[in-house]
This record gives sequence, C-alpha cells and structure tokens, in this order.
Amino acid sequence: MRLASWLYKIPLRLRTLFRRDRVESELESEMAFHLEMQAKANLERGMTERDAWAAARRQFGGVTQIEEECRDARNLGWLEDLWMDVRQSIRSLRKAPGFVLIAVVSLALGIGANSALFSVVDAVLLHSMPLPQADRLYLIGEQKHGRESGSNPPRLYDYQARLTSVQSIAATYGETLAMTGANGAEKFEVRRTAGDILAVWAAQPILGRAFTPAEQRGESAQVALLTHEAWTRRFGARPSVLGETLTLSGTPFLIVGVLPAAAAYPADADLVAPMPLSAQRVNRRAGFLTPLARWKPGVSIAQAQAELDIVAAQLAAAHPDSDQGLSAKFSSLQKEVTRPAVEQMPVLAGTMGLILLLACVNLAALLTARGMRKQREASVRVALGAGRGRLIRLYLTESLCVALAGCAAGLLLADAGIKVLLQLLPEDLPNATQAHVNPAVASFAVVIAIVCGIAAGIAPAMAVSREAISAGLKEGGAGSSRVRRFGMLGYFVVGEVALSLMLLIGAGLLGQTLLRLSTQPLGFRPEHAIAVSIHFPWNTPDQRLNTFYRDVIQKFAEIPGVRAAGMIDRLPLEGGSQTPHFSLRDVPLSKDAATESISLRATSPGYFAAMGISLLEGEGLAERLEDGPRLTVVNHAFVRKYLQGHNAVGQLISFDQPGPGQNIPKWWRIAGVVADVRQEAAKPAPPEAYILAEDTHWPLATFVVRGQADAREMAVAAREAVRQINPNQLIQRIRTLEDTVYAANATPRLRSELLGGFAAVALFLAAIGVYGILAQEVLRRSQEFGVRLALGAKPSEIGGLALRRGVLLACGGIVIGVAGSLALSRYLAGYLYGVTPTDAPTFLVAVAVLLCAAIAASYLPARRASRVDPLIALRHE
Amino acid sequence: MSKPSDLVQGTLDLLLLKIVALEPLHGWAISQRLRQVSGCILHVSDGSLYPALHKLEQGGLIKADWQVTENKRRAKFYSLTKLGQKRLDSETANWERLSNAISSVVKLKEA
Repeated sequence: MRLASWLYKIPLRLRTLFRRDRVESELESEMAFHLEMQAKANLERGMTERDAWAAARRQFGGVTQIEEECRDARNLGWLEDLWMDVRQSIRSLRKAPGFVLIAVVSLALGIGANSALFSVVDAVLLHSMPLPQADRLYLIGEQKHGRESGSNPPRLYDYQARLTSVQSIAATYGETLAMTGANGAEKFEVRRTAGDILAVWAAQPILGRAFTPAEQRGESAQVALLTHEAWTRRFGARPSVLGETLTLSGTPFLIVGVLPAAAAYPADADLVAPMPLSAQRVNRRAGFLTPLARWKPGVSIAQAQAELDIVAAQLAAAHPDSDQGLSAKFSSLQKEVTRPAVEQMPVLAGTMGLILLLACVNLAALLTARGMRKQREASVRVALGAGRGRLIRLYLTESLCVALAGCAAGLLLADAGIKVLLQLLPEDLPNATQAHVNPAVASFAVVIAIVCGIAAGIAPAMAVSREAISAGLKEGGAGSSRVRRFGMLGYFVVGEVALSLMLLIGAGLLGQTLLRLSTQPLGFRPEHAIAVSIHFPWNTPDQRLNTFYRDVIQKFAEIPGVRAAGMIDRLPLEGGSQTPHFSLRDVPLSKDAATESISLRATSPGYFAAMGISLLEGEGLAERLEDGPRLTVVNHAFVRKYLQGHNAVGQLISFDQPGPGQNIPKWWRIAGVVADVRQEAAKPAPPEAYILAEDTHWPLATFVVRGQADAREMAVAAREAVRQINPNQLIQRIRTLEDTVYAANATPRLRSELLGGFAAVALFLAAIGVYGILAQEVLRRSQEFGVRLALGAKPSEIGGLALRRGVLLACGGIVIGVAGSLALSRYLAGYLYGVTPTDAPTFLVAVAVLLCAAIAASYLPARRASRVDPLIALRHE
Repeated sequence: MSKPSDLVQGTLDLLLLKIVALEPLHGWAISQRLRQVSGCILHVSDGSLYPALHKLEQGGLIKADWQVTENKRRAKFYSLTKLGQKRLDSETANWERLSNAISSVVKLKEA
C-alpha cells in the first residue's frame, strides 16, 4: 500500500518538478475556466456581460492568491529545494570551468583508480570460483612429522570411507599428452582424477554421462569427459563426439560426456579422465595429490577438522611404515585460490586509498579557495534570509555535483585502469579477465563519490557559512581574515605534498629493490642461453627417459653456434626441488643438520657449462661408467654449512631417508664443488647437491642450450632437433634464461611499477592542488597585488611572493612526508632487498622531484600575480 | 487565508472525495455540487476549494485529466484513484463513528 502510493506519487512529483511551466499554464486555464463558468451562470441569471464578469471575479476572490495557495498545496519540500540547489550549483559551476576541470580531473583519477581495483577485486576475489556452493569446498593439506607432503589415492579413498562430514572427495593432477595428427603433435591438457570428481565439483555432464564408480577407480578401459571449452574449440561442439575414441600419447580414451562451461577447477584442462590403475594403486609413501573435499551442508570447520584429526591419527596407527606422523588440515579452496591476489591487496588498496585521499584533499582545498572568493555572494544570501543550514546545503550540493561529475569521468577511466592493473598483476589470477565496469562497480564508484563529496565539502561549507553569517555585508572582508585562511589552505597543501612524497619515496625504494634484484649475480649467466622444458607421462620407463635425455642433449650440442647443452629437473628461479634428508659417512652432523633437508637436483654432465656455473673445486659430473661410483657435486653453501674445515671432495654422502632397520644406505661420492646459484631472487642459495638424472626418476626436464646464435634461431633449431628424435614429443615451453630471470622478479617489479605509477598520479594530483590553490589565491589577492604594484612593487617581487608561498607550503609537506616515511619504513622493510627503508639518496631524490613539481605548479599563478593590472584590480574596490 | 471556518478541519477532503467518487467533475461543477447537495449549508469558498483539490491530487488521492465539456470547452476533470477510494472508505467509517458518538452525546443531553 505504502509502496504503491509512492509509485503513484513519484511521477506526479517529478512532473511538478520538471514540467513546471506546463503545470503553471494548466493552473491558469483551470482558474480561467472557473471564472468563465461563474460569469456564464451570472449571465444566465440576467446580468449584463460586464456585470456578470465583475461579479464572477468578486465571487471567486483573488486569482493570484488562489494560484499561490495551489502551488503551496503542491509543494514538494526537500525534493524541490534539492532540485533548485542542483540547478543553482550547475549554473554557478559553469561560470568556473577552470575550477571544475581541475577538481573533476583529480577526482576522476582517484575514483577511476579505485573503481579499477574494485572491478578486479570483484572479479578475482568475490566471483573467482565458478563451482556451485564453493564455500563447502576444502583442500586437505597433509603433513608428515610437521613437514608438508602430498597425498595419494589409497589415502584419498581412506578419507572418503571414514570422513562423515564430507559429502564427496577427489583429487586431480595435470598431465600434458600429445595427439598425433597430420600436422605433428598437438597438446592435450588432461586432468587426471581419483574419486568422484563430478560430485565434488557439483557438476553434471551436459552431454553423455558421468564416470561410473569402476571408471573412477581406473578399473576399466580409459574414459574421458571433454571440457566445454575443448568441446567447442576442438570439436566444433559436435554432439556426435560421444563414443569416439581419442588416442593421446598412445593411450586410447573413450569420450563419454561433455562438462558444462562452469565446471572444472583448475580450469586449464581439455580433458578430464580418471587416473590409470597404476597411479591409483601407488605405494602409500607416494605424495603427489592434494585432496579436495565437498563438505556436507551445515558442517562447521571445528567439527570437520576434529574428525579429520582423528582419521589422520587412525591412518598413522594403521600404516606405521608409510603414514607415521601424518597430520591433515582442511583449508578453504576459495581462500587458497585467491591467496596470490589477496597478498597483493594491502599494497594496492593502500595506494588506491591514498590516491583517493589526495583527490579528496584537492577537492576540499579547491572548494575552500572557491568558497572564500564567493564570500560576498554568501553574505548576500544571508542578508536575503538564508539560514546557515541552507547555505551549507547549497555548498554541499555544489561539491556533490563536482564529485558525481568526477565519478562519471572516473568510470570512463576505470576501463583503462583495469587493463593496466591486469597487465601488472600476476597472470594466473582466477577470473581476472572477467573484470570490467559493471553495475556493482558503478555503484561502488557512486558511493565513494558521494562520500568524497560530503567529506571534502563539509568543512569548507561550514567555514564559509560561518564567515558569511558573522561577516555580513562588510566590504573588504576579502583581506581582513587572511591569516586564518592562509592556515587552513596550508594544511591541505601540506597534507597533499606529504602524501605524495611518501608514495614517491616508497616507489623509489621499491624501484631500487628491483634494480638490485635484476642486476645482482645469480650464480649463472643468463645471457645467450635458452631453456627448453619437456614433460613426460609419469609412467615413462627410466630407460626411455635416460636415452631420450642423452639423445636430446647430443642433438642440441650439434646445433650450429651452440657451445654447451645440458639438462636439469627444475631450473633455478622457477621454484620446486626434491628435498631429501641426507647423511655424511665420515663427518658427524649436528643435531639440527640431521633433521634438515637439502635441495637435490637431477642434471646431466653438461649442465654446469650450459648454465655458466663455475666449478670451485674438484670436477663436475661425468657420464657414469659401468660399475663406477655414484658421483655428486655440492654447492658452496653446502660446504660452508656442513663441511667447514673438511676437504669436501671425496666425502661420501647419502640421500636416503634414515629409518630404523634400513639397509646400508646408497653412497654418493662428492666429485666437486660448484658456485652457489640462487633458487629465489631475493634469497641466498640453500645447500644443494647435484646428481645425474639417471640415478633418480623424474619425468620433467629442462634443457639449457648456450650459444652465440640468436635465441629465436636456437629455439627453432631445438624444436626441430626434438622433432627428429621423436615427432610426437611435445615441448612444454621454450624461453631464454633472461626471460626466466625477468619472470622471477615479477612480484617486485609489479610492486615498484604500481607504486611508481601511483606516485606519478599522486605527484600530478599534488601539483594540481598546489596550482589550484595558488591560482585561486592570486585571483583573490589581485586587489592587494594591484595596490602593491601601484605603490611601486616590482612585478618580480609579487611573482616571487606567490612562488615563495608555494615552495613554503611544499616544504611543510616535505617535513611531514619524510617523517611519515620514516615512521612507516618498518612496514616497507619486508618488501625491500639490498636497500634500507631509510636510504638517504632515495629520500633526497624524492624531495628534489617534489620541490621541482611544486615550483612548476606555482609558476603559472606566480606569473599571473606579477602581471596583475593595477587599474583593473583596483576597479573592484 | 480563506480557511473554511464553518467546516470541521479535514472534513472538506472527505466531501470532495465523496463528490468526485460519483463521477469525474471539474472544479466549477464540484463547487456547484457541494452547494446543491448540502442545501447551501456547507458553503466552501472557491479560494479554499482549489488548493484542497490540488493537495488531494498531489497526494495521489484524486487524479486530474483534461476533457471537453458539453459546451465544447476544455476543463480539468477530477476523478477518484484507487488510493482515494481506500481513503474515502476509511474516512467515511471514521466520520460515521464520530457522528454517531456526537449525536449520542447530544441525545443524552436532551433526555
């Protein structure tokens, strides 16, 4: 009822508001009609025409008065006043295009930046998980004796059988298989599953059927579901694909169904297929899965975790040889997925917030300066009966109009901002490409614009209205309270300068961090080398792997211009390594060292030469002769930490897990010591040992090829070499070592670029603020300047006055900004490398840049001040 | 101000709603009808009639549209809205309760 009545009333009110002339003319004709009828009635009663009209008018009463009362009856109250305020604001803003431009541009930057960030947050953090009821999806992270370790299918099935809080549980790993066709090998990303993955994803095939329980356990012939993406892209969304057989890397897969577009996490696969029996029945010691569980509805984290603790303890007791020390922990899938984005958020959101703050400060400063100039007008309004509330409302409306204009411009900028942000953010952010300006983003922008408009407008509105009421119509009010106004404007500029200085210093420090990171010695020579990664199916026999590795290295070495070729399991700076415990036969380890693990790397003999890693002692690795000793090479960090004071070469080392009742360990002889190679750009090298790839099993390999030839030519030649050995062999990727180094510094680069970008924007905003305020002020004081000039002051003195004032205010900001940076340095320290958070040169450069900007911003107003025409200025008196 | 001093405050609205409830009428006709039906006892000056009509219109209780009269003149005709009908019903009920109460009090005095 209430709503319905409003639905009816609103159009009427809007009509009254916006069709005022129409309503007026209607009122007039209604009155005229009444008079006419009255006169007609009078005529009929026998009056003369003239008398009839005169009587009618008499009977009716004052037309104007009645009309006025009708208008009153239609009064809309606040709505009408608001509309009047808005029209008045727009009228008065149109007279000050400079002010509007400066204010709108600075607000547009602030609101645009924040809207862009909000779009990304909205897409990545709030809508990243396409799966239904994703809040019930939890990963099980396993640990053994407090160390991270992976799970395996037997344990997965144990969880499934024992956990009552879980509705379904499954795990996946990714595999790249090749489909051989007329055009050589084509890559197929296959997601191998154990358990009822469709139940976990809460997805039903849109075509065909789900896996049967026997298929889920890998007990039947290989079957597969196509993802929606692969179905449309590779098979033209052809329904007849059901029942076809796809042969990938020698294994035939029967296609039994197609998944819906939203299903599948991770979303990188073309095909979803159960793990083969060999992978499903692995030893319980294996660890290569992270189980994903869908909880039953209404399960609490405490409940689920308590049960998982019990089950883990049961499993540890039931399988002491493999599961001893097992503990497992639920963690929300959504949180894990968005973690990389969340980790970037504090820096991003902090900077965006600061930018918005700067824009608000700008607006407040500009509004104050403008309000001062409009004091006379305000006084006139007071004299005509406007109350203080009415004045405040008028000025607030004005600032809100500007804020909303800034919001509109900001939303136009936001799209460009999103593009910049996406380029800067890590590439694999889920759903990031879905970030765009949508209604949610627009509402967010409008809300922050309104908050900004009120926050920035309220103080100037209060101040101006107070002055207007106390000062009245006194002439000369423009000069009398100058000292106080000076203070108020000063605060704004000082705050702005301080904020942008802090951003500048932060950007400078992060930029130096990046510089140090990208120029520091890494332990290898990244120039003139490419890396070729090749993955094999997990069940590839050792013999085939070893032969292939040897053939590839030999072929690569034969490429013209190539000086060295070698391989390693995982390239430095790209993360990951095998981390076994170790023991030394002849050197006792400290108690701590016995529980520590080292990085173990599988390489070929030519690896050190190909990477340009220098040999410090002894010899590198060589092809192992029949029944020759197993050889290893350790890095300098290993020697420093564990073999201090011993001769490293010739020591015997074992990488076996020391266990009770175990056989005599396999010993490796240390053949040499190589220089440290950084595994992470910002961390010193950990202790490492290199062994020959044939002494271990690892089906991922990265070949390093060093040569003087052009990187692209080498890549083409390498591809051709692999094709010659096996035309069906896929190459995972090829990049230069320099690319790897570049990628390793992606996060610090992102941080410094972002902060640098924002510092630039902030500097620009601060400059606009300084310029805006000084310009307004020069205008306000032009009478004073005119008098001074008329009395003999030199133009350069007057200009210097304005310039000095800009610099003076900037200095105030610099003092606060430096103090603020010092206070915040603690928080920045964690992001820095090779530079202290109080680095003096950075501070000096930032201060110099800021001073230059302040001087540049003051220049135009100063010039205008020096060119005030005394005659024109004095005419206003 | 031309307040209808002889009318209980708020009663004018009830009368107007009731009159336009019967058929759509223009202002002049409403004033004539008012005079007619109340036998000239309830005299509402034109000065208070129109503001009252406009207020009712703005409140969504009656709506107005321009129609042509039998004399081929365009005039603003007022008619009752759904909302107005509801208000009329409740006001009528109120009025009946009030007048019953008053008349019983008055009768009490006579007895």
